[in-house]
Amino acid sequence: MMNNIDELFELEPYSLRLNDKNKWQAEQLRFLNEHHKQHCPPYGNIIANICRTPLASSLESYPYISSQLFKAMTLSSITAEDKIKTLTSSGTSGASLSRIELDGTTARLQAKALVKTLQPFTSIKRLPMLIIEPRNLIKNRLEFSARGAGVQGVALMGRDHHYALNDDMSLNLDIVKQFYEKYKHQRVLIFGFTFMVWHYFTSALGKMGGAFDFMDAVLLHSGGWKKLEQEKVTDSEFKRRLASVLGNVKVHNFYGMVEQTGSIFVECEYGHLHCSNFNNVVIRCQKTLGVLGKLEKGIIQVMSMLPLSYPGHNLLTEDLGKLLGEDDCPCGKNGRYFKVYGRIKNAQNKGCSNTYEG
Amino acid sequence: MAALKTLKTRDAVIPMKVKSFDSSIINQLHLSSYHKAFSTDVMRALIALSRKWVKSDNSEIAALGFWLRKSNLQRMKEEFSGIEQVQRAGTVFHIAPSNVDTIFAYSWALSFLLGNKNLVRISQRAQATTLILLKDIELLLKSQQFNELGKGQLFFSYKHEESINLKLAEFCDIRAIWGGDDTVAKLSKIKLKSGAHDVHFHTKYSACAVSALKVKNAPERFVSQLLKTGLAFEQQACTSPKMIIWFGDENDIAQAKQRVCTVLESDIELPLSVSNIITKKLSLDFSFANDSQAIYSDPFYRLNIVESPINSITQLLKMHSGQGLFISCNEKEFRTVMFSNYDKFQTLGLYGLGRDEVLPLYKNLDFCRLVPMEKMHEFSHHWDGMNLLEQFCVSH
Repeated sequence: MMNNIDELFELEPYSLRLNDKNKWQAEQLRFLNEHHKQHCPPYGNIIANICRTPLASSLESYPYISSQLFKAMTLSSITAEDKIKTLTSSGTSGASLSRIELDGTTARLQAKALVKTLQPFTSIKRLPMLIIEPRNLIKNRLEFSARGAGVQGVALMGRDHHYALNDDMSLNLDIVKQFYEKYKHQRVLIFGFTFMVWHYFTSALGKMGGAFDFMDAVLLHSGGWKKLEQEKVTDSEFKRRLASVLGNVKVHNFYGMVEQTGSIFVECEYGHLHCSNFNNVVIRCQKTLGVLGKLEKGIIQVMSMLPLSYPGHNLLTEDLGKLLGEDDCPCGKNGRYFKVYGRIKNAQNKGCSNTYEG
Repeated sequence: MAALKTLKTRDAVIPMKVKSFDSSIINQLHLSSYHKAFSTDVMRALIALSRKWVKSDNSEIAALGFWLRKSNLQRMKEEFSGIEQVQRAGTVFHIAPSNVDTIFAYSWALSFLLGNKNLVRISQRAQATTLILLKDIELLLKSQQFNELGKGQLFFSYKHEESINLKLAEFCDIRAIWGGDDTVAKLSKIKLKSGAHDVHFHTKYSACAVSALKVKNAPERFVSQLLKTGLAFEQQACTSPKMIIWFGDENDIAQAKQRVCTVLESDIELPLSVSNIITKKLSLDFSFANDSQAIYSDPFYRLNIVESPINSITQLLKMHSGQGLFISCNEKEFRTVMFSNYDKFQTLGLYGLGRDEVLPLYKNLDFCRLVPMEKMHEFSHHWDGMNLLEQFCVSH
């Protein structure tokens, strides 16, 4: 009963407005709940114990689980034979890993959705691409990290991939020059994780005295701001410095997580993170987990219409954010748009055994 | 903060911050002296604190004050004189936990009684109760009467750094590491000087052993006790009951559970909210993913009772984040749990049951405290299977 998901790919990715979107997504969530209840007994038992009957019209009434659960145990809705790859990520303390199992179908859906979601920011065609990573990042194609998954996913948007860093993470200026000489007069795509871009690209170029003047560059970046916050680098400083070393560059942050790859939230020219047709967001109260309204800061819950191989479609994250609006962003995209503040403080367990941290 | 009323000093509006560790602390240590175990002056100092604290509105502080009362100190003195060893006073380094504010004071007081010098590291996350106690201790030890005595009693805090931990390991004869398995593991890697020894306070769980019949007949009373004892310290103390173990026949147990739920569903007073709802939600999801069934769920995540299969319970206890999650099982099932978690259970709080009803059912209960449920959080120098009067003896 894969019903509408294929139809969804026919539409423009930010086309659905409130009523249609809620109707469509509620149906998909209902389908995914049933699917995972059937194929993942632990998930089924969670839902049986937490769920009051969801109201058809209200997405918020659908049950969600903690994203951290994927670090505590393996939750899978497929058999070992169907598994084609496993994604992992490090936890908040670096101690435990999320393990996400993908089959062919889910991997394909996630890749397709990622491309669809990013195209309005890049191009319908694959663009020449510069990746701020060493070439050897993805060594094992069967199991790789969030960083590897991110690169592999976004790499689908590009062609003639150039890797800007050497194996030791130093900047390979020759490669960047090569890329520039070849493509300075056309639209190009540059991608890297936020800290990598800042530290190994922007700062490194600055030290080398290198500067380029691309005519039409699009830079996508994702990942935490924690290290940049520690260095007191703001978003506007980040963008400004990129412009000073790259020329005409449109910079777009996106928010995502390994537990919901393919379902990302991209920043528009107004600095708003957008939900696409493939996902949605709810903000919940830190005291009660009740639903909050617009402009109220709370815990981010993310919904993805995609995951079939693991029950990651409706998750409570450890991040704080706030809803800015719905269907009315000046950039023209429909759907909810929001802001992320970052990881909630003291996300770790304050138990008898946690004295070492305090 | 109600406890501030007990501070009779003029500047007692804001509790002080904890002093940061620096080299002056080591200098002070060298300039101070040891004292005789259970000396008159030490007893007088602690009794003075006891008299102040016992009047506090803060129940944790009042409990500490009560434990430090003259008769209890006398009892410990008598017990100590019966222990066959000579106490050669030394330096004890205490690493206090972050989950219960008063533990640092119990640890320090015992060691102080023995005549030791004490270096006490306070958690970076110290709350108001800790700060109030520290202020009172400081005032007392700076007073003319106890100044000399106070010189070797040093309280400070610092972010855990290898260099400081190494330095402190050089000076102490005993290192008391509170805070559970992870803390013990990390800090005991730092070697002590030769002749010195560690006292470890490992991760412990506690449970309440409950008579189903008594609960069935008066469920409100039990709920009231459960909320009081169970939710204190956000259920994160070693002494906090994380399990409810039912004693009685199937019928009584079923009815007891049902009536408890009825009481919980009525208009009872729960805390406003939990402090970390994300970890609470995670521990609940984890419970259910491991075959638990919900018996009671507060819609605001403040109190949950779940029933779990025996072989999941060990895992659930590891993932437990306190904050009002009670794992229910019957006493026969608990025997298996106890067996797989030998020496991890610290306190069994009895409700409607006598020791003689419980003791014969469980082997190896000598490491475990058996006390009435309302006394679960009461401290004793017999703790975690150790006699701390012996453990804090440098010549031990």
